[in-house]
Amino acid sequence: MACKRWWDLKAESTTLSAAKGLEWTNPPDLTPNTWLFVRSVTSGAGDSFRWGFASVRCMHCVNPTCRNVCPVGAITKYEEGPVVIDAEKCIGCKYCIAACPFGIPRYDEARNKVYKCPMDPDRVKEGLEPACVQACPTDALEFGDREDMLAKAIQKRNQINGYVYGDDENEGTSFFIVTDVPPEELGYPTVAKTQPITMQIKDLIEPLGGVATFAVLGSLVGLSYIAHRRERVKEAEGKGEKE
Amino acid sequence: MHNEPLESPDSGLTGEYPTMWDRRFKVVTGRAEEYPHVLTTFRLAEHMQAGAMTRNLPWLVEAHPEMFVEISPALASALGVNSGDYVTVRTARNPEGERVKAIVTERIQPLTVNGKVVHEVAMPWHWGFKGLSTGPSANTLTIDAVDVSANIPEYKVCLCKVERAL
Repeated sequence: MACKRWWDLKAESTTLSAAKGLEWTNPPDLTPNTWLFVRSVTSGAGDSFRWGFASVRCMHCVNPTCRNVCPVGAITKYEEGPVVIDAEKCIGCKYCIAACPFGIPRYDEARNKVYKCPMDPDRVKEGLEPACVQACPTDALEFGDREDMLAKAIQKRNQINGYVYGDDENEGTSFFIVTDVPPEELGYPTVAKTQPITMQIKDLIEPLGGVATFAVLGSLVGLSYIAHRRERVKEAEGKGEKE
Repeated sequence: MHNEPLESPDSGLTGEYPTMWDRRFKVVTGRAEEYPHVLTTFRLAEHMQAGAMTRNLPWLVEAHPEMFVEISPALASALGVNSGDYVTVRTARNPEGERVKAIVTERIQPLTVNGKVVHEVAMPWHWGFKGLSTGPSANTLTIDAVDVSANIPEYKVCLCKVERAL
């Protein structure tokens, strides 16, 4: 809600879901207008009843797979941490959606662009915390230097004998979740620690594109030379005959 | 130091722990035999009071778009109800009852009162007939017996009967 207020995003039209256990999860998923949602997960009964909450949004990876595959370089990983999609450069190809191992970015058909949590770069650059962190009434969300937050997460994990999620998934992210139950139980996807590509595809495509264009043009010129050779030979022979 | 609610699932308890209500006001009460379940009301974080303001804000309605009643899995299986099905909740103040969507959850557990199992259901009381999100008001069901000293009505708890609705 604080996120929507800061970015002036419109509310989703939701209904009370009949999906068991998810009735209190509204909005039920990320959308181009919902960059963060909290999944409510209940389990157990009586004395073992647990009501868990999972905050779901972009993990702001250290080496963002989305940025690596974007063919137009619309995604930037800022020094302060945020991974931001530049809506003006975005062409709506959805490569980033296919690439994201956490399944975060969402495509807006009407605007032909992809949207996700940008970690409020305008706030972060001024030394403020993102809107969601400021709004959290229980201080469940904390914001700070990656090393500090990682140390805190590990300390808390040891204290509650739990788990940390996001520290080394996908070669490391900027969003750490400390839970007392396995993160998968709260709906967080299991993600590999390595990435299949660690270079930016656009850096490969651009020079290749240049070579390919040269090769195509060059071959067109060459083909045209060969195609017209008969004419030239005929002309030369014609000239020769006349003499 | 306990005072039993005016409508109690066990009438013996009212003798032992008398209710301190203002008898100048006429109050309609029901018997536990007719209304065997207990209704309690609760608040949500996203809505406030009768929801006149909050049920007009899209961001808040996005979080809680509809009125609901939370029932325990035990009562749900007894009634043949799943999450998302509608139930009718009746009380002595509203015998026709309100038709409300049910959420089946382990948050609600049956009570054991003097050895007898009593089912409890919980409703938020933020809905009403006008706004972006409308729905039945819990306060057509709650009891208006008023506390002797503070004049606060006993909206928190009363007896009810919950049945599966069409």
